[in-house]
Amino acid sequence: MISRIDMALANDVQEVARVIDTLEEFGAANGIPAEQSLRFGLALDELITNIISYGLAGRGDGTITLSIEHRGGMLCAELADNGPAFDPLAAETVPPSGDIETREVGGLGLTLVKSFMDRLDYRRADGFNRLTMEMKVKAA
Amino acid sequence: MTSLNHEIVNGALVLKPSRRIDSSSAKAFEDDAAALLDKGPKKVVIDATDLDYISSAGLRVILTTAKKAKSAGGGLTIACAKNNVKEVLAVSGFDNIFGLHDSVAQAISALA
Repeated sequence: MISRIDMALANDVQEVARVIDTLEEFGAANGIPAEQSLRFGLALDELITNIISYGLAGRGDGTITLSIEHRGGMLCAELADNGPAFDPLAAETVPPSGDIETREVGGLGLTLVKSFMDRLDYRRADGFNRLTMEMKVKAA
Repeated sequence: MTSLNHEIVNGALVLKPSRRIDSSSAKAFEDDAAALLDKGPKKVVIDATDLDYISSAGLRVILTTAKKAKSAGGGLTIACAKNNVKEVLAVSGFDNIFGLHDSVAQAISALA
């Protein structure tokens, strides 16, 4: 059983689909309920989309790496990118409010990430943003 | 990839996205939904029966589609969401904005 995967991602939002596909296969091979794999995939989707849309936008030398592990009943990942220093945990997330006319979706991605992950840690090292994330896997 | 199945039921456009609306597929959903709305229906039901996953990019295109429907004098609501999707809708507050229904028929009635 493969309990760890390492991926190098292109600076392209289409990579998000590949990450979620990979996570679904990884989850199935590790006996993780599909809903839980997708929940973890959602957090990765939001964070990778932010990196590609903002931090590395227009950068030909953008580098993104992702490692995913299943250990001790947890799904864990480290996501690294060489964009400008950005701590998503320090970014302000506003509580959702407003009706259909006034509603904005900006910042909602990080709200979902914080809501779904049990632990998030950010550090900046050697020119890379490094975000580690953990989610306890619940039984189906 | 999302393949956007759809039908017209009692004058309402029922959109039935499959698998996922993620960052890579949201744009296609938005374009398909806009093209279908341009044909005239004002009421939109998102039938989430086959939808396993929605990200904030998906929420954004639902909001865009809803604004388009509302500006035409109609509205948008959501039916048959699975737990994962319901959870995202709840965290974002979209469940209150659009309403969640147990069946497409109930959703269409709610838009009447």
